[in-house]
Amino acid sequence: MTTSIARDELIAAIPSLRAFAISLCGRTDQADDLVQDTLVKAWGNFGSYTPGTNLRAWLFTILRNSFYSQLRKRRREVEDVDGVHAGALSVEASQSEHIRMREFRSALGLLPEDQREALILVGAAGYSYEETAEICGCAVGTIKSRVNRARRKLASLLDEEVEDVATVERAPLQLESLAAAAFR
Amino acid sequence: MSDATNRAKPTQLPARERQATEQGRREKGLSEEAARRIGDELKVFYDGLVQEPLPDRFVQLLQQLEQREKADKSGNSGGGE
Repeated sequence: MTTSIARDELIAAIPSLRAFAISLCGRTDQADDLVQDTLVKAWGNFGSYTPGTNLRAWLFTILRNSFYSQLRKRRREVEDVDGVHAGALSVEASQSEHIRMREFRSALGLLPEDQREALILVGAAGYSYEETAEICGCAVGTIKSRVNRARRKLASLLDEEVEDVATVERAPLQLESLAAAAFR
Repeated sequence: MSDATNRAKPTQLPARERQATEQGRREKGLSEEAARRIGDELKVFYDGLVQEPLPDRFVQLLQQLEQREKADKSGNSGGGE
């Protein structure tokens, strides 16, 4: 029946859905909750999915919408601890200078979410600019410029010593600190 | 072909030209090499996440949802859940 097909397709989509969730929020526990939430929503709203279209992209859309609505809620709660997060990040970075991937994760965590998600979708999850624009609900040109800015920023973060990152980023960090701290 | 490419390496340009090239790149965006390195690292990062073992909770959840749906359907006529 349709449900078992749906279930199999959903199961097949979980690894990449979860990778996207971890990329977005940087924390496995929170990512798993997001995935669970997404699966429940997808199951309950399967009627709004158009068969034959990209199921994974549909799931990614649900997940990112959940992520942003949770993030808005959470931001109000964590505003006060921004300073703590930034401090912890710089300590962590200096301990891991020789571990390139760790630096990469930290740098990725310092990108604004909209840039990070565009970069992940286009550069890692294999979506076209058009599909990414659809998932993120914005224009193709916006996605292109987000991806470009994300690449440039990552490059500059990685070419500079990561120790500099926390100080450089402190001022505009407000929106990013939650995700950034999570990438430690 | 590769010989010609090697000869044109930016490291072999006179300092002034090299500087101009670097400035040009900085305005436009990334060097090819940096873009490739970042692209590769991004894929390594993401593929590592995709390949992480999955918690059991997701498959269990979907089984539960499926069972509940079946129960709802068969329970519709009897009015139970």
